[in-house]
Amino acid sequence: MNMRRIEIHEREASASRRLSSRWNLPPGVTRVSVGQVFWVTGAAGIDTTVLSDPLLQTRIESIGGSVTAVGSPPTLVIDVRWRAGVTDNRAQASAEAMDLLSTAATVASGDVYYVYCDDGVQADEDLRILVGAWARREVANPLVQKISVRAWAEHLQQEVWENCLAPEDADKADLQSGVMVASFPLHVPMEDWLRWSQENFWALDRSELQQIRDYFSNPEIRMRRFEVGLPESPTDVEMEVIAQTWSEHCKHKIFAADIDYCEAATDSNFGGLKVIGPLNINGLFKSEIVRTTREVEAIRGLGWLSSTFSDNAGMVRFDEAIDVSIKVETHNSPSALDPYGGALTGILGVNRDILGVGMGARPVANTDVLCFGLPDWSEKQVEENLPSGLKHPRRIMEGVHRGIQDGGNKSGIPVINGAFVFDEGYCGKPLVYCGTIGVSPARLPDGSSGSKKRVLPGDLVVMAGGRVGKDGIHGATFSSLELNEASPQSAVQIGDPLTQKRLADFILAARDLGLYSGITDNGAGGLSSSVGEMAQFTGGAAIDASLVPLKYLGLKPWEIIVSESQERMTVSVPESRWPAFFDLAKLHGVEVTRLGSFDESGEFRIFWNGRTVGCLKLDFLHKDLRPMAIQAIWSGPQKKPEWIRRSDKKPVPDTTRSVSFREIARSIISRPNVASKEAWVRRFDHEVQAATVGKPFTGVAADGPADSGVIWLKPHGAADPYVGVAVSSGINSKVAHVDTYMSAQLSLDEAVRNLICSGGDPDHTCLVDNFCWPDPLPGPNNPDHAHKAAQLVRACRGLADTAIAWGMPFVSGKDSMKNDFSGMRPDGTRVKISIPPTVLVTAMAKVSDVRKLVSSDFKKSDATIYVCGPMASWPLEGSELCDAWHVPDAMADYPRFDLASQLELYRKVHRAIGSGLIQSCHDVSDGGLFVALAESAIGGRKGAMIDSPHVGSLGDLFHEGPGRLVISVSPENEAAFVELLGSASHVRIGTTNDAGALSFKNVCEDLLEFGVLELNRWWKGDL
Amino acid sequence: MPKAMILCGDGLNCERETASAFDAAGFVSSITHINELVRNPKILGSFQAMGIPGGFSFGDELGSGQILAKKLRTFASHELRDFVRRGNPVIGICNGFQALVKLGLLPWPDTPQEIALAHNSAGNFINRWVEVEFPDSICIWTKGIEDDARIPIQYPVRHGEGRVTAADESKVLQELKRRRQIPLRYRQDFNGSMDRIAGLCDPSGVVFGLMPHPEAAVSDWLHPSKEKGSARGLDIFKNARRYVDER
Repeated sequence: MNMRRIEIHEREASASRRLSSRWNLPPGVTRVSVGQVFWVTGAAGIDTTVLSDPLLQTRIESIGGSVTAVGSPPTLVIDVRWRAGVTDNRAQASAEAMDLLSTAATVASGDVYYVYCDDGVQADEDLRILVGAWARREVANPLVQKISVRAWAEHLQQEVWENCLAPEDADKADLQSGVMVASFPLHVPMEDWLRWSQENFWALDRSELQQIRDYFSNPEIRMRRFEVGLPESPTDVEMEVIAQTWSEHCKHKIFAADIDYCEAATDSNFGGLKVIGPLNINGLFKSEIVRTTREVEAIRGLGWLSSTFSDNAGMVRFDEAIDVSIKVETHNSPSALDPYGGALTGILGVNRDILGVGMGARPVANTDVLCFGLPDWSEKQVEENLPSGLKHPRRIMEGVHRGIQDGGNKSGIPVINGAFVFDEGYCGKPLVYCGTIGVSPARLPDGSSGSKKRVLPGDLVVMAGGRVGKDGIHGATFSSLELNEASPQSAVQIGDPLTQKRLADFILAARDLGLYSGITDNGAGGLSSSVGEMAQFTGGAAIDASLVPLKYLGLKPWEIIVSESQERMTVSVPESRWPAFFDLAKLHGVEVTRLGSFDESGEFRIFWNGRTVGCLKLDFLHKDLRPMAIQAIWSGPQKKPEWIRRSDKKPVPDTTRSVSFREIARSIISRPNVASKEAWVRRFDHEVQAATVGKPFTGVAADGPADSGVIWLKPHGAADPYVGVAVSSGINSKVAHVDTYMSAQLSLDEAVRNLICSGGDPDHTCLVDNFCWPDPLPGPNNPDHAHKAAQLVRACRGLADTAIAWGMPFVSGKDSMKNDFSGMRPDGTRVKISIPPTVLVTAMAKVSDVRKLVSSDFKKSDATIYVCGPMASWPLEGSELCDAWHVPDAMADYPRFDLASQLELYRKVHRAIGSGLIQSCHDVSDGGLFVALAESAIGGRKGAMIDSPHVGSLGDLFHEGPGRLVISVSPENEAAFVELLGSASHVRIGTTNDAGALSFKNVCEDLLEFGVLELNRWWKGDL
Repeated sequence: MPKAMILCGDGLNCERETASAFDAAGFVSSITHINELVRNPKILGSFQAMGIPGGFSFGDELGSGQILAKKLRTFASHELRDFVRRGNPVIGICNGFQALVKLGLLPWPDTPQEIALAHNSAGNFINRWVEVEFPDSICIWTKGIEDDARIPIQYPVRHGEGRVTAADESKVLQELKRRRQIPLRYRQDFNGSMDRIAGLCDPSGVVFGLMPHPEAAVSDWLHPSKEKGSARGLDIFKNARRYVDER
């Protein structure tokens, strides 16, 4: 059994050249070329030709110890391969390809880089260190990959034939220790328990630990433990199950807390901002979010909410034959550590939520909203400012983007909606919101409900999908802690879209055959959470952890139970259906394993080879945790916190002359938050499944931005031939420092407004809330925790008030609470980076006829342009204009946002779209009215003359106040349109034309004019 | 009605819309897992057409279509070749095209691999609608499809590895042209494909591989222009149905 090293290099140099052009090569290095490398062990006759394409690639195969040379010898060779235990998709697929005829092969894979240097550069230690540092920065992540740098001569002589599949040394020692189950003595000081909590990443606090000790000291529990053969002190299996179940990530303790809220006394009335306190809140989730849904449901008598808040996703019925489900997750911490893996597992994870909702739904669309630090950091800025342990924002963006791309494309799920948001506050942790829309039949083929699980006592606990490894241990608890340099690598994972696609195909087939009774996904907390949660249906479950199939030997029971290894579902299968379930799984190439059964014992019991290693009361796990108490004091509007000082902003120039106005306009339309993201978004498949009616881009050259994604539902089983669903998002963290009540309201309004533009029905709209917050709990490094907690309360109230006024229920939501980084600047000073409090609202609405969609681009010349919505001027604070330029008096009193008239406007615009009165409709958001007009002009390649007194100042064009739509109407429909709008606020601002320019008559002393193609060039820029 | 086998599984993901297109053209399609075919390749005998849909078989690892082709070649090579020899139409779309090339069914069976589908010249996956043209060819799938002067025919493309290339491009191209095996071209260069080739057929004209997705251009409202009559993807599947009828 020889190990072979096989290198595959592209024959064409263009691929390597393309990559190299993006890299900042270290001094002395002239070029780097990249290839693939495989280490294959197997029988001599094994056929490795499948590894390459003879036309496109060359292969170099070396056996035993010496390496065959290739082409012109490089100075250095870098091998980058996955660390033991990290998912290696290429190796798995290769092994499968070589195993087709059962000649078992073990394979590891990686990338090999040939580093070429200037003549005379020596391959010495200095160069190796330099190149190693470059590799860690630009092409590899040491958390998940092993990087070795060798001089060419050394590489030739002694390629080190490591056993690439064995666990690494540190793990080995651990594996050989032989202790499979440990326990933690009860009768020791609390300090020991606090230390254990920290050492084991339990993220449990003093009061929670006390509650755990009380539970285990209870005589009844002690008696029961004696009966089942457990020691009185908790085992590591039990402690881990409790820690995962009680983690902030799984339990949402902050959203369940008792909160004492008040507003700090100030002289002003907060500049027109809403006073809501004082308040005593028993759980924000219940009292704000769920309350909103229940009130809306009661007031409006909604009959279309199939399932809210109780399952893996929210489900609504927009068509008699199907339920549409929606869920949005965040994957911030994993994406901070490994952007590619974090985003990939984020997408696959939320896809599984949909796969596990009700009796299983088919994922039909993804949405991705991504928040990063500004991507344009120079090397110098990085050197001077970027704390150690953090990655360059651009590297994070590229990695996340690639993860989203692979996650969606390889799963065959279109990305139909999303956003990129940039702010320096996201340098510490990026925000990676991954959402999925699913469709399931209202009735399954056997007539039973598609939205209700029906797990019965005696049903088998079955794990389906990938195997379990050490990857992803402590993801749930880790994400409940602040990020720092010591964050555990085990929380990082790479996803496997192929395994998950097979799993999804299998599950949907099994569902339609009625082969299971319930299903949920294995996400945070692994089996401990999925089985623990499903056990509540029958009132108990028992599993044997030794039956769980492993990626490699040597996992302890607690690791198996909490591992978050990806691509797994937990399914309850009636004993009688097991043979058919098993056979179908085999056909689909999916591994399924029975681990135990559901029962009515009231306990979650875990065995290891038949011996009990854990036994916990379900009530204790799921119900008994006492709510924490949080103090929340709002200190009013604050200055935007800055952890890094970017170069001083220039004062906004005098705008009486068009030349300086043009300079401002150009700076705004090319800013990362505003500029076109087309180059990035086109790499996402947005129309696989052939149902994407509303695509991300629109207009004559398909480059104008769309406001929401729209999916046609007939291909997914709808009864109505033309019904669709529109999905959009609204996110605003720009004015969160002023007030989160307002920023949350703006997020919600933006999401809804986007839907309206694309034909969504405001009376058939539901919402999903996602809160990403800096830590609102007291801590040594968190002086303003009470303000952050108050910001959270205000955000919830802002959402609740708006949603109730508009009659739109929340159907699902999620929060992520510790989005802080603390570490060291390059100069040794401590730095804490907290994200701005960020509310994402994802909105989903029924579109009654997908053939009547309206898009954002101007369609024809001589159409009248209207701005509909509130016209009062809005403070510039937080706007793109303010972020780019120093604007005096940006902060001012905020006008009231009239929710009732706004809803009336949305309803009327919706009717106008349905009646075919509108040619284009676009929302006004980042960059204000100017950018909205520019985008409509670019999309339609139409000019416009704006000649209204309402558009006369810098503020008119760049403020980012809520509620406005830019609508174009043909002359023949104008009268009907105006009559339909009636008293709803609207003003005529100009006319479209074929002159090729967007012109403003009343803004400067001279005519302010922009060529449409010029705008397009600025807007596309080079992001 | 004639039966069409649409493969699924192992990461393919366009089987449902491909089956719908076959159905709309008058076939009875049956979505069949690759492993069903591999376990019992004889089942192919009861079908009159076959589609290998798009997707990411085996996660595109080792190159798109590579492992799927090896799997089909290992277990069903004889039956597939026989199916084609008997004149049954086969279409491979996107990933299916890549697999047909690596299987050796395109462009010339039983010769060493002479063309490949390489990474797009831009280096990355691209999703957009492109205008296509239908040169004169022997392909039964594209017979008689003509441009409407008002709306050029557009199909969506969604791939990262779709650039047709060959070791000896001029020789291969000459041969393809001589034997009229280029049924589909891009109107503008989109991915660096030689001679803007978007699709190829085999010397008999029944095997058709193409990168664009006609199965996603069947309903007008999915077309970017949304205009009536703009979606022309079904023409291709209807041709296959007509061909099966006329045999």
